[in-house]
Amino acid sequence: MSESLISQARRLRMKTIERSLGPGHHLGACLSAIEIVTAIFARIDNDQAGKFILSKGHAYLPYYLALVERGVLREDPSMPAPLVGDLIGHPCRQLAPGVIVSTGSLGQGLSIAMGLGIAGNMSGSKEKVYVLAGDGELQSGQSWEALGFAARHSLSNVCVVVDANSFQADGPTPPALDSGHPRALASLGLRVEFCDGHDASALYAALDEFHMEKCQVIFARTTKGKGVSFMENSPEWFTGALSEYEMKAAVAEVQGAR
Amino acid sequence: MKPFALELEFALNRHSRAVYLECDLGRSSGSAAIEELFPSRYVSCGIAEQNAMGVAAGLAIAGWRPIVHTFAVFATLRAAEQVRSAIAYQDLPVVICATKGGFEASRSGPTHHGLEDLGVMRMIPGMRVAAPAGWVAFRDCLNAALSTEQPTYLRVPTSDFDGESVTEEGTRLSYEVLLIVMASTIELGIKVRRMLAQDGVKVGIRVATYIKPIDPLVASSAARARLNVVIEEHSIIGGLGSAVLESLAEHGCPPLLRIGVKDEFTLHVGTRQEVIHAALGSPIDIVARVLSTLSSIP
Repeated sequence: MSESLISQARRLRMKTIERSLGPGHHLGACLSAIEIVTAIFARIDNDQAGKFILSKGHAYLPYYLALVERGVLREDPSMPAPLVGDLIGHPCRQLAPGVIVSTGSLGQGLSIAMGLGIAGNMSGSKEKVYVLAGDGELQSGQSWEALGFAARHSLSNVCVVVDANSFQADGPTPPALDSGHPRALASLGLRVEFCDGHDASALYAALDEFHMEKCQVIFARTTKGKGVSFMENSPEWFTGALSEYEMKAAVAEVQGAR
Repeated sequence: MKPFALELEFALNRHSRAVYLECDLGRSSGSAAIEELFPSRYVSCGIAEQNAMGVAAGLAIAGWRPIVHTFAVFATLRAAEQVRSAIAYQDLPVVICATKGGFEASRSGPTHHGLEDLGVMRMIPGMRVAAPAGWVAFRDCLNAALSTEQPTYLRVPTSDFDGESVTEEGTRLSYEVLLIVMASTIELGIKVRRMLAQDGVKVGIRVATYIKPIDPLVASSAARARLNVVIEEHSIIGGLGSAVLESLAEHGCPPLLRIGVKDEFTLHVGTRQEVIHAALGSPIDIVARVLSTLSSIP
C-alpha cells in the first residue's frame, strides 16, 4: 500500500504540474497538498465511504485531477488544455461532478464540513468528513467558529487536515500563529496531531485513527512547491505562471525523484 | 410559547426534514422552546453566525431543510458573504429567519438596527426575500420557503397585524397616490392614507410581502399610479422602494417617493413606533411631503 501511495502521489504531482501552464493555478499551494489529497482519497476508496471538502479551494488542481483519475470527473480529450484546466479555479459543485462543496473563500469549507458532520450524526451515518484547510486559512475568524463548533458538538466524524506549509500569499506565515494554532485547538479539546505532510503512508495511517467524541485535526508539515526545487518555499509560486520550459523542467525533476 | 416558536413548531411538524439552527438568541426570539420539542433537529450554533450559515449549507447538501435564526443585522451583514457563497452560490434551500428587522431593537441603537437586510439579500442571486405582515402570512412564507429549492430570507413579524382589512380588492383600480407599505409600516400607512383621503386625494394602499421577486400585484398597481409612495422600515437605498422603482424602470417609471431611513444612522431611542417616526417622519410630515411631490408632478 505505501509504495502504491508514493507512486500515486508522484503521478498526481506530475499531472498537476503539467496542467499548470499559464497563470492562476496556485501551483505552490497545490504541490504542498499532493500527499494529503492522495491519502484522503485513498482512505475514502478503501472505506468505500467518506466526503472530502477542499476548504483550501485554491488547491483545486490535484483535487480535480484525483476525481478524474477515479472516473468521476471526465476530461474532454478534444480540448487542447484538458477540462480540468478550464474549470473555475476553485471547486464548483455545479460544474464538476464529485465536488460536494463549492469552496474558494477561506474558512467557509470548514463550516460546511461541520454541517455535513452534524448531518451525519443526525442520520446515524458512520461516514467521515475530511476537510483540507490551509495554515494561513486558520487566520480567518470563521475557521475558529467552525473549529469551536466541532468542539462544542464533539464532531468525531470530522477530520481536519491542515496543509501547514508555513506560507501564505504575501510571504511566510507568522511563527507565533504556526505554533499557537495547534496549542489553541488542543486547548479547545480537539485531538491535535502532527504528521509529515509528504509521507502519504503516515497520513493514511493517521486518517484511520478514530477518536471518540473528538474532532481530529492533523497538522501536516509540508513544503510549499514541494518536489520542484525552484518552487520550494518560494512565495512567488503561490500564483506564479509556469512557462512551458519551466513546466518540463519541473516534471523531469519529479520523475527523477525517488 | 411565543408566536415565532409556534410557527417553527408547526413548520417542523409539517416538514420532516426541517432542522433549526439558533445563534444564541433562542430566549430572545422564543425559539428556545423548539429545542425541547425537537431536540434532534435543533442545532445550537452559538454566537457564530458566519459558521451557522456554513453549517446550514452543509445540512442542506446532506438533504436537510435548515432554518437559521439570528438578528437581521447579523444574518445579512456579518454573514453576508456566507449567505452568498456558501448558500446561494450552491443553490441550497436554506431559510434564514431574522428577528429585529427594522427598528424592532429600538432601544439597542444602530448596532442592532436591521435597515440594510432587505437590500443586501436582494442583491444575492437566487435569494427570495420577504417581510410578511402577521403570523398567517409568515406561516405561508415559511411553508413556501421550505417547499422551494431556492434560499429564502424572511423578516420575522412582531405582531399579528397584517393589514388585510385595509387593502382594497381589485387589481384594476388606479390611484392618484398609491401607498406601498410593508409589515411594520402598515400602521403608519393607514394614518397617512386617512389624512390624504381627507385632503381629497384618491389614495390606495398595498402591502408588499415579497421584495424579491417583487410582489406582482404591487408592481402592477404601482405602474398605474400617478405617484407611488413607498413607506419602509429600511434604508431608502436598496430596499422596497428601490425594488419597486426597478420594476417600474421599464414601464415609463411614474414618480416614486421613498419614505424610509435616510443615509444616516438613527440614534433616537424609544418605542419602535417612536423611532420609526423619528427616522421616517410623523404622519403629518409624510403627508406634507406627498402633497408637495404631488403638486410638482406635471
